[in-house]
Amino acid sequence: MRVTNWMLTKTAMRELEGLRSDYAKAQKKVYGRALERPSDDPQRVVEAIDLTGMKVKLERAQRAATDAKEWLSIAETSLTAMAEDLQAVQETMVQFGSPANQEPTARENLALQIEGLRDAIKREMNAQHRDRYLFAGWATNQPPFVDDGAGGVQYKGSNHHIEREIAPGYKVAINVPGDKLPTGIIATLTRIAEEIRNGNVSDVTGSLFDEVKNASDVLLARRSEVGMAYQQVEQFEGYSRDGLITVEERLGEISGGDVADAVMRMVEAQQAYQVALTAFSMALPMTLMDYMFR
Amino acid sequence: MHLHLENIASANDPNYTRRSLENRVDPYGRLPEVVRLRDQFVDDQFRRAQASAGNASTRADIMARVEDIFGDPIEGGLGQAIQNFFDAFKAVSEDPADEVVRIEAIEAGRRFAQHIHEAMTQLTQIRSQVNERIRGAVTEINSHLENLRNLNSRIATMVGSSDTAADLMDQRDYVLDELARLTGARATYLADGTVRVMIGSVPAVDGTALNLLEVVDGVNGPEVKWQGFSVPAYSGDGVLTALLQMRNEDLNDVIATIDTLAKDVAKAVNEQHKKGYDLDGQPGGDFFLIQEMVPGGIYVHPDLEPRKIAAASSAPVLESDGTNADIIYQLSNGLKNIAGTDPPVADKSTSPISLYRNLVGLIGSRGKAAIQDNEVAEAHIEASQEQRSAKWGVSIDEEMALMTAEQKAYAAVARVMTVLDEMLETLINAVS
Repeated sequence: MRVTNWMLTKTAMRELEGLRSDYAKAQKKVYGRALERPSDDPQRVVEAIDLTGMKVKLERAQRAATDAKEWLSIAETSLTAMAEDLQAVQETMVQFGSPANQEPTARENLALQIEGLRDAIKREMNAQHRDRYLFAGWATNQPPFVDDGAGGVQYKGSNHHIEREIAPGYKVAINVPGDKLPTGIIATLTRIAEEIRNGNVSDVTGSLFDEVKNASDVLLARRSEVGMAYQQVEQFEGYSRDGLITVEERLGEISGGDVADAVMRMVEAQQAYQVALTAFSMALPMTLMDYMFR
Repeated sequence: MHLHLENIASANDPNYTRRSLENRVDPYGRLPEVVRLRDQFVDDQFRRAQASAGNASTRADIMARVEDIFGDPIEGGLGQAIQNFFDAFKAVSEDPADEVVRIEAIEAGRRFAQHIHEAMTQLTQIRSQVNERIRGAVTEINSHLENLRNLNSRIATMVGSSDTAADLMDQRDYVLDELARLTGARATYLADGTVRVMIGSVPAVDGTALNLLEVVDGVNGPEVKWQGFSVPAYSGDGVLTALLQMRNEDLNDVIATIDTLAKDVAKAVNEQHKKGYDLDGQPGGDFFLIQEMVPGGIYVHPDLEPRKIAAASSAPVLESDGTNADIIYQLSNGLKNIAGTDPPVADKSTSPISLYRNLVGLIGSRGKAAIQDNEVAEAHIEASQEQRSAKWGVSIDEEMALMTAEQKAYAAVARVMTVLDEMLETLINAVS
């Protein structure tokens, strides 16, 4: 094959351009951009879009889990406070059973104690978190329990659960609607105070005591439900954290790549380019004329 | 010597054909003639590669610009706007009483619409630039065809062969190369020294007869046809075909896909939004204003205020009822449900992100195919350019060597003449 000067020049230019382009690509990888345009690798780009979608969902789930834990722990605190108050009520009722406390003054004191505990429980039933009523269902902007005028309370909230999606597609209730609480206990406590004043020992230590005990059991059941929900949220929070790490790792592999490997490749490309430049600068200008007219 | 000088002077011109002198000493008395060392087979091969390269490079160029519209395919642009829009509805569903998250949902809706508008504006711009390039290509092709006709007539009237004829033929071959790149034109060399150029099935130039292209208005913008007759329509290869094909197929596909994506999302959101109730207990209105006739014509409804986002699913509205907003968020898993499922299961193939990823996948695959086609065509061009140069390119070493041989011959002839002169002189002196 005849080889002309133009062929040599053209080949040199083409090879140099190829090496420069390799160098530019390697350099981009070092900056952490392996995929800049869909055509770089359509399949990987599509996979990266899927992973980004998953990442957004997992991040949202993590925020939901944090929020859920906050709601559930506040609800648990309130339920615990109510249960403790009911425990104190039971102790007061037991005290009333003792003959030493049958004096009118002592009875009045015990009745006042019961009323104090009743009001504390009522306050807890209307507890708030960030200006939202905890036990109001969805009607979180108004006190769920209002006095019914007969010593008890009336539930004004809804029977809905507020939910958080703590993992893609998996929701958990983060509140206890007020109708699930032993709402009758307020009326019972009002009656207990009255019966203590009246000195009705048999009712107070009998049927009324059982009512308080039942209410206490309901509260404990609610508290354990909330506790279980909290545990579940923590478990799923862990899953989504692990999921997020996996997704981010894979996303890094796809869109960024291995920096050490990228640097090695860049150095290789740079050396190849330099060698080619030196070789071509020596080979190109030589022709027969260089020797004939010296 | 003159030919060698000319060859050396044009050593770096890839369109120059090396020349040599033939019939130096012809026993039949024919005059010496300048011969171009051209090979039609190599030319045909090169022009076929030119047509493919013209086509592929145009497609690659346009696809690259379409790709640019989407910015960072992974973390930026439209994809993220879609994710953020639905994520904002999730936030509303979790805290429907908070006006700030409602404002964010409206803003996310605006950003989504804005990304659609930007993509549409840029695609429309690319389409009008392609239309301009179609007009420009037709003008360039016509000017080449006229030039070719003129060259044909001049070459046909040239007597014998000379440097001038060789120059004109070089010019004509260059025009044929360019026509091949622009239209995939095929040339046939005729006995009278002229060429016939076929573009598709139409003889664009035949000797001195000429058919020109013209641009007429069509459904998708300017269409190309042959002047004076409507059939056969323009068909060919190269740049012009790629421009027409990109505009009529690829660009239209992308515009239609984005339009469908935008309107499907807007319609599904509107439909669900109207089933809910706003903070004041009123039934929800449209979230998006949709202009059916405008590609990508979706806007956040101008009447929409934060309180009017219908996050609740029943009236009277309870403050923490975000059920409807959550259903709107669930649309991100599928705009439609799989038929016959109870409870309904979202059809993931209709999720906006799936539609977006399919779009990016489509653009990416077509872009990559165009780039690969271009690389193959470029490699063909390089191979045939080398063959061309090997056949009729100038090697300075070769020319110098031949020139030196000529110089030696000249010196030898001069020496013979000196001897003859001396002999004659001796003879004359002897006689006198």
